[in-house]
Amino acid sequence: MSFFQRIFPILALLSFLLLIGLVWKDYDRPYLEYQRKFKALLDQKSTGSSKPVEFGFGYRQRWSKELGRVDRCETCHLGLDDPRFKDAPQPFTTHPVIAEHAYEKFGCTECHGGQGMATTVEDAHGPTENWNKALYHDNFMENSCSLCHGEYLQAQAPVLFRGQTMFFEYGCRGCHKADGKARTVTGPPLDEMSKRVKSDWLYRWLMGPKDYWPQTKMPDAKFTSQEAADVSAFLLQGPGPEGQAISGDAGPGKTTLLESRCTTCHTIEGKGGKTGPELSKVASKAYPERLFKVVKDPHALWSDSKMPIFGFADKDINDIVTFMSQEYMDLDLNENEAARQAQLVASGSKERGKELAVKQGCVGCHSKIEGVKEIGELGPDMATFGVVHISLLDFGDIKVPFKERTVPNWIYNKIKSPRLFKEGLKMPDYYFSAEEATAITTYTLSLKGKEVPASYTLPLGERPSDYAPQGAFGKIVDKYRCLVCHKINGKGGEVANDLSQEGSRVQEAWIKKFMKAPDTIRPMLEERMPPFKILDPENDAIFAYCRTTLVTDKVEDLTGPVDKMALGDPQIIRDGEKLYFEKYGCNACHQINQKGGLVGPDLTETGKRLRPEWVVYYLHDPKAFVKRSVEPVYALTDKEIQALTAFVLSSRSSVTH
Amino acid sequence: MALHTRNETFENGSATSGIPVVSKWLEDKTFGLGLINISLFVILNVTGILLMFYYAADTDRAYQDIKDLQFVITFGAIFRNMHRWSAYAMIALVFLHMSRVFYMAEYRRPRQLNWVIGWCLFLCTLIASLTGYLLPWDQKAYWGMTIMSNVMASAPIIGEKLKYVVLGGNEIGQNALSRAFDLHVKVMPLIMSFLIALHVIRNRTDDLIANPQLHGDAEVSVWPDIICRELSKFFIILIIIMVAAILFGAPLEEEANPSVTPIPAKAPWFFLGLQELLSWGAPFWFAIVIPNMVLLFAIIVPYIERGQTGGGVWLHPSRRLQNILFTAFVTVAIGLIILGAFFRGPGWRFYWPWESWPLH
Amino acid sequence: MSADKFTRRNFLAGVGWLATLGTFGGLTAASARYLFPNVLYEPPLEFKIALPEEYPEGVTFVAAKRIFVIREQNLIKVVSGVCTHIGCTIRWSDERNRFECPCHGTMFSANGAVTAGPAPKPLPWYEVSLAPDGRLLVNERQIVPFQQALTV
Repeated sequence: MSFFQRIFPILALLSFLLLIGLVWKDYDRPYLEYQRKFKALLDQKSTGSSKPVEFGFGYRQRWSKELGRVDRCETCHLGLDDPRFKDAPQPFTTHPVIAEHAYEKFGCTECHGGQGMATTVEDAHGPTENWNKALYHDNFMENSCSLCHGEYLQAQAPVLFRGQTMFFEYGCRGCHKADGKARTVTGPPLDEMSKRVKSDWLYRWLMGPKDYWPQTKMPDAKFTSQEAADVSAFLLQGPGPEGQAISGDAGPGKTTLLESRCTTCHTIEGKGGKTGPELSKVASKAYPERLFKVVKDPHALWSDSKMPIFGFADKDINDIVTFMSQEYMDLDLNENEAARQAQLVASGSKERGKELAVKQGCVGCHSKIEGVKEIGELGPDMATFGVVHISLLDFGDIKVPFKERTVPNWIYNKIKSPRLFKEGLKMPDYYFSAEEATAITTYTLSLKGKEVPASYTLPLGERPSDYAPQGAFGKIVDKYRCLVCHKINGKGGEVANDLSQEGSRVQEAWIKKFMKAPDTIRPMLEERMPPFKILDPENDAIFAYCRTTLVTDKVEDLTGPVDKMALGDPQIIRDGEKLYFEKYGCNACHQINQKGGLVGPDLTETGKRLRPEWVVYYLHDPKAFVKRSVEPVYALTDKEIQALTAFVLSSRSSVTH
Repeated sequence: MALHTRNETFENGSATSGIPVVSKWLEDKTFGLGLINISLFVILNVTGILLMFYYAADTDRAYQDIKDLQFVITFGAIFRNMHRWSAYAMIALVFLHMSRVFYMAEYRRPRQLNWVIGWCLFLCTLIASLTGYLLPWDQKAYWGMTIMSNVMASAPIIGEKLKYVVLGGNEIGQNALSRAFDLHVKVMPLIMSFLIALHVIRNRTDDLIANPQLHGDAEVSVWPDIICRELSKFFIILIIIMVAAILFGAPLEEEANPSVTPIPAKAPWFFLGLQELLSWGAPFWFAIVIPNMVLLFAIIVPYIERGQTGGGVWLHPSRRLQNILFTAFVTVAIGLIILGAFFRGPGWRFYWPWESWPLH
Repeated sequence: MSADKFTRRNFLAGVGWLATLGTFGGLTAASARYLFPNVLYEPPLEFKIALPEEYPEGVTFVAAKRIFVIREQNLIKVVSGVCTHIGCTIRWSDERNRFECPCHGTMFSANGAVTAGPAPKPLPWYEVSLAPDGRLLVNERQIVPFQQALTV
């Protein structure tokens, strides 16, 4: 009998055993272990109920044909819609309430990332050899929101919104192209620098912007000493400051400065607003002649400047500048050091400086740099960066374990430490905090250039308003830069209140007086409206516009009913007083005659400030206009509203509390 | 399968006793390579048929179908692994079978035609592997096909047209996938079945022509015994394939992405030798002329060989020249593959196998 | 002795053949199990259709889902539009107040009962409820008696 005949039984048996092996290998799939665990938990939680627990073992799958996705996450994540599993360990934890985002329609991976087709933990969560798009960390998850909800999300996706805002405010867009998004020029123009700033200051600024102004948006290009000197030399080409020497009185200057509430926008020794730069060392930065020009007409020097034209007289400006020159000096500055720095700059190479300015992309944020074309974008195109292929991202010399070689990790690290990966990288360092870097990473990840089917899109959020007042009012708004702090019809800042319905709200005499000398309405706020030297025609124009345009019919239509309310009736006023103090405790938040809480506006002068129609309208629904209003929404009856309005508008001498 | 009797040569009918052989043990062993290849062919067809139940040759679906096989279809991963490892094994073993035949000079009269049929089968195996490679629609598939179709395009005169008809267009897209699928699933198995049948039948015929006393001298074998023996050999293969399927998953890269070429983009291993050759110069010379010349030469070997001695046993000394030449050819072929596999990194630059590649 | 050897050889051969049968039988069984899919790329059996207001009085055919939505004032019922004979899509005849199957002439009454033709079973009525967003939710997994209706 041949050899092969002899070993035939052994081989046949071996084959059979291997067949068993095949079956075993396939049958004992990891997901079954999770399902068994879940069933045990389910049995535990259902003890006592009469119906036997139904649980089918097997794969669970959500298939969305339109999105082209197959998600099998629920095979292990079994407790997603069972509230009893809120405190169960993963993978069984209940999913947070998502209402409209039911995964029946959307699956899981559209928002969370990962490999939906997989049924093992490592493959599903990723990254694996053949699937790099791993699960998004919670931090980055909001990036998917804009796929369906568009780019105007705000409160709905706060991290994404913050990242989006920062991307434009910090000048990322200046260097990195992002299709369809307008380029923003974040920094001031750099023309005539020699007339503006002192050379040693510019050197120090380029070596470390945050040393001078901690909240600056300018990143640190990490220049060497020589490079900073060269760039300074390049920028400072030209004649020195011109104009008459400044001489005034520092005393009155100080008074005017304090009265003008500059700290609403500027910081002085770190305290103040965020809109303008730090002023406590400005004398070591700018020439007095320049300071004069800036205070007199900031718009002539920089058309996008946020600083209003105050309308000071020249004498006042002289005083202010004299005061600043004397007081706002950099006391830490060593004279010899400053001289040495100035010398460095004086001997710096202008050609090298220009090269550096071009290489570092100063034009991304600054305009009017002599001899440098304002051409685009130096950094990579961001339009589809969210879905860039991992093999195109260079981790450089950093040894990154495989599990962490993902696109979000690269982006986050790049933003946090731009020159981390290897020598010779150009991107400057913003010293972002972890949350800031996370927000910007989230935004970058959202730039996918992808579209989902129309049936899935649901644009949310408000489009930016293109409100641009024209005519006389428009010029006033432009001069005083109202929209830096206030919002009108969706456009503007949120430092101060929304003025869109101001015409329906305030009384004429009061607002005109206020514009000339703004006083305190809300005790708690730090920012105060600066007193501009508003001219009478301007004041009239402002009021006319407000009263005709910034009104709402909801309030105007109340004029009839309000006329019928006997708001002067003493009995009604007393009823109102009772309601104010006893039933509703309004004094917990509001002040009258310096007594009461500080949360809401002071109501002492309301009789002169607000129109009765407005008070009635507001009491009906405090959140109708100001969505963020803290005032509780009491379901006040009409009589109560009448009484409260009467009381609030009444003269204060009769208040007994 | 070859009822190749012992102690017979083609040297004018005289026995081998007395003629020096290299190794008594090696003497006229075939290692059952022919049978092994048929076993693998059977396994490939059966697993292939099974895989077809869940695979659609649609560029939007193909990759996902492979993932389904891997994750949610019972025994899907097993059958796919068996299919892949059988395919790789078959290429290697067909090559070894051919080598064995050469070293024993079993291509001589009357077996010249069978030698040619054998080479045709080898080419068919390569084509089947190549078309099969495209089906998962992953990066290796897409870029491997890019390389291959561009090599084809560099053929003289017919090159561009050849590429156009193979791809069914100018790009590697749905048409290319459908054509590859058709070739892989129907045309190649049909042709190969036919050729295998021919190959085996001719083998018997040639045995009888060469040795008319064969029937008389043949060992008396009872049918169950024959089947036992053949089944044993088949089981060896089955066992090896099943072990491989259990232990090693068939590779799969990322989904095909026309905008990102992997660094480096390497062809499947059986074409790495060709890709290595390609890197030395113009495709026309290194990928068309040289390989085709070698192929042609190999095929016509039986017709041009002058010496007729030393057949029927391994490495007969009288065939020293042929053996040396052939060994050189085999060494180069395998060497090129090893070079391409282990010594080439990004940009097809030379790297020692232990050197790490810059991962960018 | 030769008798012993013969038996043992036989036994071993028998074992071998048995194992062979087991292997190939097992592989065939594995292949058979393989052919039954574990997951399906098919639309779910529970789905939403339109708001109740959009269905007029009487019988409305929802072609995409092969069901009929029947409204009697403020009662809504859903019945399958698939003939229980061999699966053709049936039609509703207003004049004759019945469902008719074009393939082999089966007729179903307005309640889904077979009145004529080769169909063996009445039409299944599906459970219908209101989804949270106000649309009708049809559950084809749950068969209900024909009298059961949703009040809207």
